[in-house]
Amino acid sequence: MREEIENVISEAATDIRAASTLAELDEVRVRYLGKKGRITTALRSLGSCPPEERPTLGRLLNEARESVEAMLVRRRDEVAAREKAEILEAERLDITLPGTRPAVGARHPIKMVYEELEEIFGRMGFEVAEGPDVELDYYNFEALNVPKNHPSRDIQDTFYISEDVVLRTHTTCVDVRVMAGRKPPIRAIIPGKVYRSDASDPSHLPVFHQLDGFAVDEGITFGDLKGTLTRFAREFFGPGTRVRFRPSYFPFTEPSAEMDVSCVICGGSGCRVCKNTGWLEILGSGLFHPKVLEAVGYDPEKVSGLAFGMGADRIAMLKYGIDDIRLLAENDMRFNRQFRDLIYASTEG
Amino acid sequence: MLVPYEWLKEFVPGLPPAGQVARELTMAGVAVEAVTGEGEATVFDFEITHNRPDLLSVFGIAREAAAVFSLPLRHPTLVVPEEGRAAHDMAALEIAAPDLCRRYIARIITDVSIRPSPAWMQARLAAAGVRSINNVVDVTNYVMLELGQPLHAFDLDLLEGRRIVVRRALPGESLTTIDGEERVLGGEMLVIADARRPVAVAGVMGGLETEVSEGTKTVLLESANFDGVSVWRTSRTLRMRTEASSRFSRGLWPENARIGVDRAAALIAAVGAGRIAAGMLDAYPGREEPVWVTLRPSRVNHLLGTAIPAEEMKDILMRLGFIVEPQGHNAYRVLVPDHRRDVSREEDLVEEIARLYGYDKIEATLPKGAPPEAQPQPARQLAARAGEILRACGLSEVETITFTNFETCRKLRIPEELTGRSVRISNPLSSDYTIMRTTLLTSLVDVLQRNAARREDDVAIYEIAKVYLRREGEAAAGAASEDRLPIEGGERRANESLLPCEPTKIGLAVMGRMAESSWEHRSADAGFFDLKGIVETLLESLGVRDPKFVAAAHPSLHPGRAARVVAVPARAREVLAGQRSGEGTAVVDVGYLGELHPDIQEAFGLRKRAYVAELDLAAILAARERARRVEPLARFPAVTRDMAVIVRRDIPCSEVLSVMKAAGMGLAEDLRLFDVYEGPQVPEGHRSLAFSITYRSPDRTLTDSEVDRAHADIASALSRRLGATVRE
Repeated sequence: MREEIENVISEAATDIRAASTLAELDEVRVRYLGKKGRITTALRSLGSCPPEERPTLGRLLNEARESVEAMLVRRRDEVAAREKAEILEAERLDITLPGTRPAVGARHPIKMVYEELEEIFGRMGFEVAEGPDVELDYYNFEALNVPKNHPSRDIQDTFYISEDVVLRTHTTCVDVRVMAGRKPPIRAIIPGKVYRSDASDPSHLPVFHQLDGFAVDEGITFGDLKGTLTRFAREFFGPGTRVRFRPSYFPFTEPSAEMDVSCVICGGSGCRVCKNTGWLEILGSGLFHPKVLEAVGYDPEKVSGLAFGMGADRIAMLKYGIDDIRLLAENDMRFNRQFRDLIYASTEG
Repeated sequence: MLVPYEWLKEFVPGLPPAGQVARELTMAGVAVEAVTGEGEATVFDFEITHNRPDLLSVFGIAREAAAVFSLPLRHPTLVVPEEGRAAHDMAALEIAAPDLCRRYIARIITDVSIRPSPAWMQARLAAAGVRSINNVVDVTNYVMLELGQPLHAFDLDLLEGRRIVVRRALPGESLTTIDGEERVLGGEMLVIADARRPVAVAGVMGGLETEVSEGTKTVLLESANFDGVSVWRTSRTLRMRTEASSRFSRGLWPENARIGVDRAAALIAAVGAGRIAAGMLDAYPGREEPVWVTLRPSRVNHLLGTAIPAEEMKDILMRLGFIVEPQGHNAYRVLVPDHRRDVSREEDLVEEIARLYGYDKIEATLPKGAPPEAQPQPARQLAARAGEILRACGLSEVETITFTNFETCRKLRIPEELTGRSVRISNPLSSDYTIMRTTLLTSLVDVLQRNAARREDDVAIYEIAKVYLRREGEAAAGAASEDRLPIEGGERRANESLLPCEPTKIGLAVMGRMAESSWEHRSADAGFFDLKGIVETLLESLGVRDPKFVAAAHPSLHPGRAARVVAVPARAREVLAGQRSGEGTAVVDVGYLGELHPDIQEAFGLRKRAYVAELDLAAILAARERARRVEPLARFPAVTRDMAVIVRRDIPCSEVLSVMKAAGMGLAEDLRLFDVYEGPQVPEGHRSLAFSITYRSPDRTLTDSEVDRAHADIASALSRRLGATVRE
């Protein structure tokens, strides 16, 4: 009997080792420990053994059961671990297949430029102001020292709605509106559409975009104008950008200055974009003409103001390498979809 | 303006090399736009700013260069070898319009012999881009280029009565100008006439009949100063822009007329084109007072942020030809030279000093003091947020031209209530762009069409931008009558009622697929409910609770697939719920949404169905919630039951839902439609709407029988109110 029990244990051990799946292992368990299993049956038949052998046999059989159970548990863990590993292996993906992307829309480059300008000037304390596109001749011209029926109107070709109403030719008219309604100090930038009766070509559109800005306060200087715009240029076009200010003429500023930046394409060595000058004209600026300050009820002896205006389309073209302004108005999806990210090139230097 | 380097050197012999001249003049505000040739043969192309007519000549540039480089300036020879009869005896002169002609000088040339001009003169004219004609005409052109003074040569023998009258044109007068065109004169145009008829349009172009020709024996040489605004208007009216008119338009100074005529006479004698009669006819009704400007050096430094010594300022101004005298202890009295009529106040002198001192030497600083407080801008914030949501929903931003035309509006069936309020451009560039848009629809469909034409049929776009509507009613009537009444400046200027309304709209358009198919998922073309879902998401994100979608026809939309979007503002909701008394229950019309009418889709060449929406930003601003209070989290479990409602097809889902909500007695926490079915198991003209209903009480765990009762209440209400049958 004792020998028999040992045989059962060793047979069980062989069967357990041979079982390679949880199902087979369960069959083995049933064969030895199930209701009709060999060990269970042997335990049940103890009654038919001689009484003096029962305690010993009983102990041996229980030990056998425990040992088989222990082997089963060990083996089950092994098999389970392997089966799980197999499943996981079977579920392996080619993670280089393309991801399923939710559709996300793109930003328009003009708006990206505006957003970045608003951020840069915002940190210098400039708030955003807006005004009407269809504007009174008074705000667009007269208050800016461009009288009616005057040859200086030739500088800009204007769309007229009536004798007194025009499509604004610059957002500078909003400078006047903001100043007329408030007292200094004010710092504001004005994004918006502007209109000039220029036929469309690679560098002109009848509707385009400007950003004007101004700061009025006591003691604003030409040096402040240079400092503010130099900071803008370095933040927008990169810290290595060089700037230069050239005298120019605008009816509403005196002194007036044009700001050039070192060419963003060639870095100043000369190329097609900068017409081999190494410089790009970026914006017009100056200190407000005293007549403008007087028109909004300020005393030019007490306050002064710096003002500037730039074409958002032009700087978008320079920044993103766009060679035809009409792309900015056509909304060809193959073009627009390229602006899905919000990375500002300048912040990377 | 083309200027040969060697011609400049005639007046400033010490000039540095051409490259340096170009660079430094540019930095002093005399911009060199382009340079051609090299060394002595260099030709500069200057872009002269509008305020500096004195720079529209070789001598003008030379004078400026001499100041910039601190070099001596040579003046052109003005010695006139007069001989023979006196000019006075040969012609008469009268200025009948002294307000438009400050000065008129005529010199007489006798014994004229018309020949080609000498080679040196022809070469210089060619370098400056002017064609050689004959010795007399070439001299007038040469002097205009050299001194900026336009001149005109008349054949004196052809002037009726040997008389010059400077006067306004008479009604009905006309003149054939030297380009052979007949010009109808009139209005306020200033002309040069002889005793009988106009012989030149003053400051613009001479007449053909009296021009100098091979047979000319006696010339009357005109050198005058005409009013800039008058010449500008005339040249605009006649659509004639000439070298002379553009110079007069910018404003010349009367003293230059004398210098010009003497220089021309000297050259005519020198090239042997004729003999100069003694003296000249000089009518000078517009002699100007000298202009003195006070300059405070402290003010200069205050505005520039500099510490330039007063002596240096004085030196700069003197180099530029200003006469500077002390005035008290801390100021100068500055006399403006004749040719600098653009300088009239202290700030103008500040610029003169700054640009010759050097803008690059002024230190860059930042404005001092704390930045002022900014104003809140809820509409801008809302628009920015809307853009973020729409891009997250897969729509790309577009930026369109704000113009359109009536034909496009007609094709798009834009209602008359909008097109009737179009802002019209009085001088449009083309027939495509004659009015300002009254709706974003014209712009959005234009983008769809443009892309479809390029085989791009999957387009999902939005634009947040303005439309333009003429004011109606009293404001418009007031504005219209005002247009006709001669009202003085002040009132007219501030008349904002002349301006249209410019409401901001959120426009959406979806055509074709919104997402690309992947290897794992196929994507389908977007439909009505895709766009409606986007609108719902957008409005929710902007704080508009429970917008209502009401079936409503729109001429541009599919008649069965169009909706108005309506919001109930927070205030109105509180009034309706009895939480607040008073007025203000009005709902807000937010906009419309729907499928573009198939006819329009076809007319614009769209191969796929397109869905559009246009929402009003101000309406959203008015309707949105301003405060948010959180709902307490549910503490008791929910029970979910499904219910299929078979109901007539024409009963809208919104009505079924509102019956269910009312019958749910506050226990039906959530009603979710998960299936819509029409087919064999459903009677003709009916459909099955399948809902998943979540029951929950805020204060206890619901028993099965409570849920059964609520579910049964809903079913019976549906059958009673809508004749629906219900299957579980």
